[in-house]
Amino acid sequence: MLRVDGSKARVLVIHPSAHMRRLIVTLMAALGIKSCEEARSVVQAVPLVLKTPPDLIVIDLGGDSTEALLFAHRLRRGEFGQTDTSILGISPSTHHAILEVAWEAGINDMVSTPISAIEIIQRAGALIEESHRRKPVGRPRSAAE
Amino acid sequence: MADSDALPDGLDAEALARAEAALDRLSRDYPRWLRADIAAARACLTPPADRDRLYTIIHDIKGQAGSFGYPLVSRIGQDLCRMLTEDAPPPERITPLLEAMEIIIDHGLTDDGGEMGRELLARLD
Repeated sequence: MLRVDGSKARVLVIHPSAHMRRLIVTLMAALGIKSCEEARSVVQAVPLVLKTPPDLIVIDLGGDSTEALLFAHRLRRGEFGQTDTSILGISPSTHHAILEVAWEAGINDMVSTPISAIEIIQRAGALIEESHRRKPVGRPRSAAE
Repeated sequence: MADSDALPDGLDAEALARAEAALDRLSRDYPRWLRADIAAARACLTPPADRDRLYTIIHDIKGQAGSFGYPLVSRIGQDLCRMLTEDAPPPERITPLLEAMEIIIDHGLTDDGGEMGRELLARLD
């Protein structure tokens, strides 16, 4: 069993579709996560990342994924937020070329659409667990950390 | 519901059960949301047509319908996106595809839609 203390985990969902955001937030709630913020775009997401560093970012890579990939790349470079924040990508394709580009940009793991409950619970849970191993649960990290 | 004996190592069976129940609840709401999206798409065809907004709506439908149990709607959305990308189709070519999406939700054609779903796709092809 994954040992995720979801009540203290923070998740940020970045997806242009309100229905998909609702779906992902609902699935995160099933994982016990009580703090889940939403952004329609990476532009909306950056201030949220700065304000409250999330333990996990779930980001859409459908359509033109350039902005999402650039967001991950900039986060990893330390241009904003915490460089080690876990990122879970959502993509209609898990073709190896897309996976390679995503990993190179700094995305930790990918789930494909249509989203399955088992897949997102497993991968999001594992990434949150990993994030909690890196830092004490529920302790906010300062930008300087 | 997932069979707990077949769960991958480390997966919380209770969390999965909650997630599947939540997904099921949202899937029951989805036809209502989709109808609203289709109405918004139709509104984009009213002169002056808003092709960019139409593409965004259809692209979102394509990306999400499968997750809510309606892969046929996603498939039609994919055809519509391709159509909108490749040329500037008149409303007469777009409307039948929007109507097909409505038929799918009217008849609750989830998953592959069975025989009715196959016939519908064959007619559109």
